[in-house]
Amino acid sequence: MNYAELFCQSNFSFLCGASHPQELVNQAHFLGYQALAITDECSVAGVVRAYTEIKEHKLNLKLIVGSLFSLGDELQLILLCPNRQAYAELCRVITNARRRSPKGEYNLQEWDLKTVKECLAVWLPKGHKEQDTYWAQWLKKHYHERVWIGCSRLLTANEAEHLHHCEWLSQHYQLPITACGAVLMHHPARQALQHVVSAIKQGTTVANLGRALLSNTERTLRPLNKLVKLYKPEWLQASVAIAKRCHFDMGELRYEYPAELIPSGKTPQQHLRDLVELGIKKRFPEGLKDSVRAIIEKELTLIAEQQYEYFFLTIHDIVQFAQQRKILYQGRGSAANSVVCYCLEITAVDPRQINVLFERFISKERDEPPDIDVDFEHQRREEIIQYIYQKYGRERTAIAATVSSYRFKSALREVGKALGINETQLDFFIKNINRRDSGLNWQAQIAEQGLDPGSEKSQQFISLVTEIMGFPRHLSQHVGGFIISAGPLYQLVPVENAAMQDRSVIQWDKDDLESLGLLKVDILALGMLTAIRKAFAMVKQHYGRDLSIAQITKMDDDPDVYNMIQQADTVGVFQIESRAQMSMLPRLKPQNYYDLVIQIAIVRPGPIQGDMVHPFLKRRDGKEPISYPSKEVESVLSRTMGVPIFQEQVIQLAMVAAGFTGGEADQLRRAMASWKKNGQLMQFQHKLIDGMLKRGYSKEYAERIFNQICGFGEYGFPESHSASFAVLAYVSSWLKFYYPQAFYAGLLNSWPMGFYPPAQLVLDARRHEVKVLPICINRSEYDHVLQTDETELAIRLGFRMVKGLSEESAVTVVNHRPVSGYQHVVQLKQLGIHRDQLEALASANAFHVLTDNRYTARWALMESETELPLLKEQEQPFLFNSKPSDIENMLEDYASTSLSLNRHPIQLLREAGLLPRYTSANQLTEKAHKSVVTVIGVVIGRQAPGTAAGVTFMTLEDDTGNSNVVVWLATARAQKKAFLKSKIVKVSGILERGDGDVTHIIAGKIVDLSHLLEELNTRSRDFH
Amino acid sequence: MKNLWLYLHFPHLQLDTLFSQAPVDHSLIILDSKTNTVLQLNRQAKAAGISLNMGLGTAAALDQKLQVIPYQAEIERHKLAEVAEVLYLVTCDICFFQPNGLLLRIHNMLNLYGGLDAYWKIVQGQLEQVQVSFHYATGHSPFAARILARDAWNTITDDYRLMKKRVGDCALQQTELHPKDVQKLTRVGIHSVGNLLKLPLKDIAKRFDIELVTYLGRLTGEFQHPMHFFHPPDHFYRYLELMFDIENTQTLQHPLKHLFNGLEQFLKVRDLLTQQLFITFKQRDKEDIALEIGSAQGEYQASKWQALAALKLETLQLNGPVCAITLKTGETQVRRPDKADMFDGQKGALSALQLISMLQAKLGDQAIQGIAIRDDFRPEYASVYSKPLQPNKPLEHLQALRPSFLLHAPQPLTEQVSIIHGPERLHTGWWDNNEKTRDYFVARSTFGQWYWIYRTPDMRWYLHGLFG
Repeated sequence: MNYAELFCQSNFSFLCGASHPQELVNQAHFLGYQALAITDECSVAGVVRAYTEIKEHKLNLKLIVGSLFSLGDELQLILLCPNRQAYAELCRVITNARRRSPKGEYNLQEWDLKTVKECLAVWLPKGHKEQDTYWAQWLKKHYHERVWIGCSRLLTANEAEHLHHCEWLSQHYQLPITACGAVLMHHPARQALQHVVSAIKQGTTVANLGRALLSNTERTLRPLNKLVKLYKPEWLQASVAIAKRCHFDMGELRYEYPAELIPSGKTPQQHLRDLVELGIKKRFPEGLKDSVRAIIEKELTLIAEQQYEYFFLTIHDIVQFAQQRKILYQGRGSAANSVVCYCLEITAVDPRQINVLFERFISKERDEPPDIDVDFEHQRREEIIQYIYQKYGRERTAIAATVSSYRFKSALREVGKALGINETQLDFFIKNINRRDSGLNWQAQIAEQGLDPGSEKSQQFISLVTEIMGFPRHLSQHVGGFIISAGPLYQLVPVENAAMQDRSVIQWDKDDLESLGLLKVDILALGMLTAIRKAFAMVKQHYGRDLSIAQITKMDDDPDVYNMIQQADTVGVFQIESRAQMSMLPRLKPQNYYDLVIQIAIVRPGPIQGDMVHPFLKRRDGKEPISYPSKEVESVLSRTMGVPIFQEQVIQLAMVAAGFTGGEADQLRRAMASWKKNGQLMQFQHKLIDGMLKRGYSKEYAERIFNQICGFGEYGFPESHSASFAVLAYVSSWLKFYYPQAFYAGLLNSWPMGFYPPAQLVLDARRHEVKVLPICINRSEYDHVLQTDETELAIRLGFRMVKGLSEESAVTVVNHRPVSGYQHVVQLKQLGIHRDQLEALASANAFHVLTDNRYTARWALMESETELPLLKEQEQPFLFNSKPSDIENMLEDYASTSLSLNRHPIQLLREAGLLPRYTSANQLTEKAHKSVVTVIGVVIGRQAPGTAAGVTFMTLEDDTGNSNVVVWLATARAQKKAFLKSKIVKVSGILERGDGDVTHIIAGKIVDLSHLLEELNTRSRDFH
Repeated sequence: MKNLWLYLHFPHLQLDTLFSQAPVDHSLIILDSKTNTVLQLNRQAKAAGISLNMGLGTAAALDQKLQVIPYQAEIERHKLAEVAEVLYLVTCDICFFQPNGLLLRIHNMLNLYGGLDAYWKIVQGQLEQVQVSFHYATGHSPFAARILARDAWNTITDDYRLMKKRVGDCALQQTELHPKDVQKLTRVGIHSVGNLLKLPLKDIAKRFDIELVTYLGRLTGEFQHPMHFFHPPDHFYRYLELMFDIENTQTLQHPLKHLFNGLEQFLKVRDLLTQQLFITFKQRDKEDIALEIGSAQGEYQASKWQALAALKLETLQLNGPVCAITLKTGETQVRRPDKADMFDGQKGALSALQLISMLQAKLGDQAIQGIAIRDDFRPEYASVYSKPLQPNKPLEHLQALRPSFLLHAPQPLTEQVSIIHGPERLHTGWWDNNEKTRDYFVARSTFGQWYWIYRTPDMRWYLHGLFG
């Protein structure tokens, strides 16, 4: 006897289905089903996963695409797709129903069902005689021979009556009956989880749901012999007959690119070639070397073979628009690092300088789709998005989805609530469980926090939390992955509303798109591009020099710039400005572009967890011989001295050293990207290690490679992205070295972005002898600008720093400024700006040219009566006439602009005689290695990187610079109070100077001095 | 006579209520669940470095063994009312400042007690009874007394100059002013009440709204401050949160005694008797247990009630730990000599309630119970015993066919039956460790009885009920 399951919901019917699509298809295959329909409610979001699973494991199971719909309370039916047209129809119905409702809901209408001409329908009668009679007639009339009554035997109470009713309907209206299982779980063991998700959905506990729960475990994929006992043979036969009519295969879906990109009469190949030839003239005005020409030809051939022309042309079109609008952008990704992309002006990496990269373009054997992400200025990305919508229309454009899944915290909280565990206790667990603690897993930690590990309830809790992790919760929008099609998108995939207004998302995420071979265009936002563009504009304005990214990379590697980078003088520079990057710079000493590419990729948890950093440094310094376990490995690793650093290398290693096929390697790559979410990576462990052992590699080496794969998983960096980031790192360093004023002003004007708040950028600027002028009511603009002060070019802080002042008000102040400047505070009150805004300016001491006391200025502005024009020249004296002290001035500076150009808090405290003896940050270089030192500073950062277990880094700032403190776990525990809470601390410890003169203080004693400046409003960047 | 006010500030009322009788030796905080910040904390928590308004995360990091109790306004409200009642015995004008302050108007009481010191001694005496920590201060206006008490001035004086000076020294953050106004004032260098009061009121009025001006007027005493004074309630109601869960009825006697003492005091000063007491034992996870004690002739003495309660408790079965107790009086009557005629007893029919009380008195409470339905698939849990005469809520979900008579425990099926209907499969109940896996059938016995039988996964058959 055969059976095809036509009614099966996966966990993409959120909080209803309790099994992954993959689990369902595997189980159906195991049970010997002929076919399985995945019929999530008004959704096809889970179908691609089922499809991919079948394809990858070559399962002998037919997948049917379908969906369950409810029309109000009256009608429930399943639509199944027999062919491609039916699929387009289904997508259209889902899209219409979804677009009528806010995110996550749908609203089906009778009209939708009337328009269905191809889909097959399985009707699930409600059991209400009058209603069902109406719908039986309706369905017969509109669906003719395409409708069946679906009957399920689930051994529930009163089931017999329902079956009688269905049979009666069948006889009266000549509607055949098919068996269907109403499946929610692949296995009975998922019942508890199904109960839990039902409780989560209803916002109550499992125990409170009572008879709203499933009463038994029958809604699973059940063995055929059981089904034979439960159903009449003709009902089972009907299911198979329906399945036979379904021929649609997801593999038929083909992406049709928008045609308007190609001028009529040209083929895509021709057009792309023409554009590339145009680009060659622009990019290589002095002519093309034969070797480069050869690469271009090779790339074009590859693109033609894979039919990727449209993809390149689409991106070309978008970046052309960005150029017109003078929006700075930069492409990255495997396909971006090609000479073709350089010629199409998608990237600005000159291939002659870094030819090493260009061998690894699209890899045919790795079976990956081409990957190009384009970063745009973060403040102007919306213009690009609007352009895409305008050009292709909303019908043809949507953003890819991101599936938000249950992660540890959400799983713990929601499952706990469903089991009736007190919420405060759940909060407590969540706060106190350190997921980075590799020594103790969370199950053990939760026992430490007081959950009795022996009790049944705790065990249920732990196993349910584990089970639900990785379950999808809802669809949200991808950061910038657009899909654009030739015809309406809703014939390819359902489109639904996103949470953000006027955005629509498709029901598939990027992995699904990849599985189907559909391409998306990533439109991303990057703050550094904004900063660079603004700096370029200032260079042009004040120095008359036109700059572009391509132009800077074209010049040879500048030793002065690299010298600065080697000194870790990189505050504000792209990517290499973090504390970890900075401590590596003096050791790695990058001297050229490719060194930077390595630098960016190496200071990542991947290489650090895989213990790859030290071997690399040793080999580089010649302290360790460079050796390769085999010739194949050498071919992959020679450019990084035998140490795998990039994601691509790890994938290639899996292929050459462990014998992975191209397809398997691609699966590995995807598993790496999402392994924290679903832990799929572990399934590769054996395959990889065994494969390597079989090929004669040592176990230790194999395990090291696997560890690195795990580390890469979350944070790993592909070389292709690192290469593009290195360009921006170099360009920003170059600007910092040659045009520091423009560099800092550009950064400050693009904030928030990057690693450092304005206060620290300004401090760094001043340490580089850049003059910074205070906010002034008569000199400042909204943005920070460059002004000539005496003879030098200085940064004039802009009104954007003033907290509580809107851009609109600031612009009003600037536009109405008399040529001779404002002479009196009262003049400002006549601008019609809200009082609060002017008060904010007063507190920021913007009126310092008019009055020497910001308190008085603010008091005067607070008065409401002088807004009457008659009284405008009068001014009341401030009866409480006290001048702010130095400390008060400093506090006001911090409160109103987050930074002070006056004396540093530490300096003030020192001058007030409040501080004991200590070593200032700039004197640390004079202290010997291993000497005992005491430092005092404002805590500007605490960071506990997951990679270095048990260590927290503290950054202290004083008036001369920053000092780096390392706090070991034991020290931190013993002195928690001072460590966690303090804003100003005194740290006594041992000074350590490592490779490249990197100086740390290993904390011994930590004393909290915050009371000295209680109100000091500094903000520390804490990472806990 | 000049106005004089006394303000009492109870900084950790909930903590004191919960732990005054059984001090703990570990860190303990009361947490504001909305903001997840520390509201109250004990000495040990302070020593660990935890401070007020600190986030839960930081607090928990500072002390791993920290005990966290969510803030419950209810507890403080009850306790504050209790404190007011105790004070009402010695002073008349009491005003609540929720959730943790009491204001007393005292200038009109001083003659009665013969001066400020004597009055304060009496008040202190009353406060000792309630075992809560407090800060206090006198003030020339209600707000002045409040600021000073909250600042822990802990001074009783009628030196108005001194009080005003002290108020002037207070920081603006300590006032009732809106934080936004305080911030505005700070931004022009005004940090203390004294700074602010130096400014002419009309200058302030030009820059701030009327609320600030009103506040200042009330603070200085220039403006009237309307008050709603406390009137003692007619009924006694008290809530007692237990320091630890009690599972033994014997142990419950002790906290009950505490409550009865309060009751006696309450009734005595009002010269009242009550015939009925309602005691509720609150349980953390289970339903509350309600207990009624009656005394036909009315009673006020704690010892008598204690004895009655002890009898009642003997028959009480606790099905879980008790975490709190409430005690409240029913009807009260003025105490007068008992002159009822012994032949004057009630005549006529009994009401249902009366019948149940009578049966309960004769047979014991446990013997008389009602039945309620519960929403659960498992037949064993689908009905429960309940208090008699409690209304039943109908179930929302579909009613399946169920027999009228369910056997107390299923019995092995020992006779031939013919199956008429079924199966209905039950496989649920994992969450409370009483999972049932059964196939139920309706069957007919050879004698024509309709049985409700089931089969277990190992193919054993049981009789579980009979259809009527």
